[in-house]
Amino acid sequence: MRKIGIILISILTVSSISFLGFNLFLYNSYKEDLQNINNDIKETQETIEEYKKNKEEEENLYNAAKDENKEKVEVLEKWKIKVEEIKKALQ
Amino acid sequence: MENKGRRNKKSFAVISLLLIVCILSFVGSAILYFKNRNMKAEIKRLEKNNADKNEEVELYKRDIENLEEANLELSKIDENIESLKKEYFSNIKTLEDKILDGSSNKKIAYLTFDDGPYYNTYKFLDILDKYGVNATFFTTSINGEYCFDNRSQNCLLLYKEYLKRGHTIANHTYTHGIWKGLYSSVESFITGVKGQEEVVKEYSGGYVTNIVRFPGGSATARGLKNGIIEELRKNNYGWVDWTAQDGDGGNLTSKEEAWYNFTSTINEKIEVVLFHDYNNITLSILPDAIEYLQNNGYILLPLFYESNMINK
Repeated sequence: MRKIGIILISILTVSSISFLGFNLFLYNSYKEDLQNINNDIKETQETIEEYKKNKEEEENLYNAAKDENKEKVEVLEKWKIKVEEIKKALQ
Repeated sequence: MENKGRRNKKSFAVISLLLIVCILSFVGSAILYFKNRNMKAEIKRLEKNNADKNEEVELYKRDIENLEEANLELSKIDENIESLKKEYFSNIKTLEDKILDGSSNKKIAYLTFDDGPYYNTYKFLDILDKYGVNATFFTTSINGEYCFDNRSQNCLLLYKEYLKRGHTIANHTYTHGIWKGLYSSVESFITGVKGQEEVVKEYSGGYVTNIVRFPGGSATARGLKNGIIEELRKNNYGWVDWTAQDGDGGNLTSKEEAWYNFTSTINEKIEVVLFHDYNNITLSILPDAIEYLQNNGYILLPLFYESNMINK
């Protein structure tokens, strides 16, 4: 009887150690995933900052060029309308 | 007996040890289970966060692409305007061809204004603007630097204004000197044309026109007409008279007379209408004339060298 008891407790102990091992494995895996995702987020944020800066630069260029070419932009838009009017007449 | 006691102690120790290990393992597993559950939730949250940030990156990328495209378009704006102009006039030529061969029932009227720039010209330009109509101004330098428009600005500034408002500029010779030797020889006529070409170029900022109208019409050149036409052709000029008018080049005395002249000469599918931008009677009938043409199905357009109406 005692021997059977010992065997049963041994099996239980081995199972619990295995279970512990499994949870430890999961823990390490999640810890690594967490580290990776935090790194990704950091990189993405850096990319956003860079793009934000690029966008600002392009916007400044655009606004400066738009001011400089304000009249020409109006002329361009008028010509676009005129071209469309004749295209309509041709249909 | 002693051995049995010792064996019992040993068994008890082993069992106790195993139980302790077992309990510790379960407790450890439980702690780790909850930690893992929290980490899993945190990872899920951070993944969503990262996905949102990636979306933000894509939006920024798109915005930057659009801005770069807009900047490129702005840098090529002169090129784009010229390209649109070419397309515009090419399409008008196609429309003319279709009207002339009967495959289109549209009509075109080219409004032309002779002898300016003049002090009144701004008023004509404002009316044309109001109706969204572009016309052709056959310019001379009769008035030159001594002409001031109704805004007290030198008339020479109007060359740029014509272009700014979408009109075309044409050549009516420098002096318009019908009675002052313009038609004394082919050479004197061509000198007049070239003189006016330089004025147009200088005051418009580089615009080159190669459409000419004979002051008084081509018939005024009489015996020199063919010689002049030949010289114009050699110099890549085209020339045009008119097919309709309100008579303001002569002694117009009333609006009614101008209106009668105008409406009775509008008959063809493509008309070249002659006006003068110094004439106040023409100024007074211009809105009605534009409406008359539009109500009768005419599309009002500016003249251009490739037009079928330009003799080459």
